[in-house]
Amino acid sequence: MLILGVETSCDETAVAVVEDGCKIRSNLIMSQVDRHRRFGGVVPELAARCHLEAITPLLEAALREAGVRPQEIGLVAATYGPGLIGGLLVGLSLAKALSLAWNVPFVGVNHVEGHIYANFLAHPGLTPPLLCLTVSGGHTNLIYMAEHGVYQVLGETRDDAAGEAFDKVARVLGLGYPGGPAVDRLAREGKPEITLVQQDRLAGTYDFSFSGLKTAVVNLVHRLEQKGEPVPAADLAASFQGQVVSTLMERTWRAVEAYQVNTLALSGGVAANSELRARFTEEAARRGVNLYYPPLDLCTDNAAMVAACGYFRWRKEGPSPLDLAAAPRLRLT
Amino acid sequence: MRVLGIDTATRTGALALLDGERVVWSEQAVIRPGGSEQLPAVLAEALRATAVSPEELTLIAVGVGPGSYTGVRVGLAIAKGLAFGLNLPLVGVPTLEALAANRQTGQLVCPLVKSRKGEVYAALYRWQGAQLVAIDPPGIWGLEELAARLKARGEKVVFLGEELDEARGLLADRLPEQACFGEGKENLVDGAAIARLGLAEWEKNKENQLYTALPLYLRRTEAEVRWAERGCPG
Ligand SMILES: [Zn+2]
Repeated sequence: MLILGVETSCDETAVAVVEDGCKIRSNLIMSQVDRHRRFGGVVPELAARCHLEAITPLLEAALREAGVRPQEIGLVAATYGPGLIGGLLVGLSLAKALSLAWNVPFVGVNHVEGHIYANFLAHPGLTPPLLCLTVSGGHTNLIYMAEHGVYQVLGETRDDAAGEAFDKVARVLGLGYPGGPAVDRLAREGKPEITLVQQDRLAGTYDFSFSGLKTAVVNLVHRLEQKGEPVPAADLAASFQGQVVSTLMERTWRAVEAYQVNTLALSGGVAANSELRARFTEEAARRGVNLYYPPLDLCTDNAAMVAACGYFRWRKEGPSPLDLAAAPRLRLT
Repeated sequence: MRVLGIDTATRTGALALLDGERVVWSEQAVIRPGGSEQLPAVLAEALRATAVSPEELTLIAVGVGPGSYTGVRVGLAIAKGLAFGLNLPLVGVPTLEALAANRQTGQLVCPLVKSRKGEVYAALYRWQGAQLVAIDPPGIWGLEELAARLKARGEKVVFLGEELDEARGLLADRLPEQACFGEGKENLVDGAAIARLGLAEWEKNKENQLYTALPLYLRRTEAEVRWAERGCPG
């Protein structure tokens, strides 16, 4: 079966065609990052406008690249949350109309669940149970997946998503937007020796908090600038990134032990961070745990993961109603 | 021709199916805020009830606003999905023009859609025969500014539109000799009007707007306006 996936929850407009939930026929992504760069973050109304402009040409191109005629599509899947309401509504409305026009089922997909399925696309042999750590500009989640469609969210961020903290630190260090790759690059030149936060106030839980860490960097930079002293940008980047990764490591490996899984999957844009990959790879090898992460174009937001996830959802639960509402704060249950 | 007309720019969303001159389905319903995603389900029901299969449609006409940004986008996304999926042409219709079409009169017609406090989306039309001719295209008007402009014209004006308590009060006060107001359903966008105007536009220009139709926002986003004013995101 051919599945059409549509993703518009944040600042990537994406359309993909996936066969049988596992084989990518096309996976097109139109990033809006250049439209939001000067604002230092995603502007929701602007994002929604860009989605509507981009979506139809992208849909046409995705079918053409897949070599698929519209009447061959058997299922239409679209993200219905979590995300920015204006953007979600564009993809969701288009997808429902397509399902109506083609007389095929429609299925709404949880974006966070979608990120997990990026790993199933990239690694066909992968099977649950597994633990998935999703880190991006929009989310930080530690999820135990018992089987397809059955999840337990062990931990999530109490404030900023990891990627959001990267963006803000990049901004105060004058590195531009988006911040993740810039901080990653600069950190390689620095020493992670500045203690930014003394204690882990969420110790013992699986939840995350990055706002204190981010504020510590911002305050330190402002203090140094006021005194006219040089800002050790590379050391700050290395220290900040090191502490983010340490927190992610501590929660994740504790969960690996507690849930006795030997499969760990990483997902989300921040999973492309070089230090994160290196430290998780090393620790996984030491513990004999199988570590998976998708290639970059499946790490960041994309519609192939939505199509794959939608396929499994539909097989398990059937189609979603055509009046399914967008759910900006949708949770994974 | 079987034309589907959709508009979700204002509080009352509209959907109609036209078969030639005949309206075979028409529905107007208050859209709860952010709830225009119900529309595909309503449409599915309309097609079932009229025993029209989607493949029998020939044209999709959709209101492009001005009005609620989100609302207009949902309408356009649905229209584009249908037009693409059914391989049909799509035509965008200004929502204000459809509103003006509710009153055939020799007087000036001024359709209004609620905007921010003290402002309205407005346009000015006059009927010439069976044709609505735009005198002022859709724009954003301060209420005082709009009243002053119409006062200068010195003619009677029919105002149409819903959710306009503030505007009605002011316009009635500033234009006591000129202003009259629509009643009941005249103040609601009609899907059949969208369909008729879309069909007329299609027959005139034969231009499929599937890729080009976009909302008539009339305003840049707040972030862009601030940027233009200060040269920074602040
Ligand atoms: Zn994401």
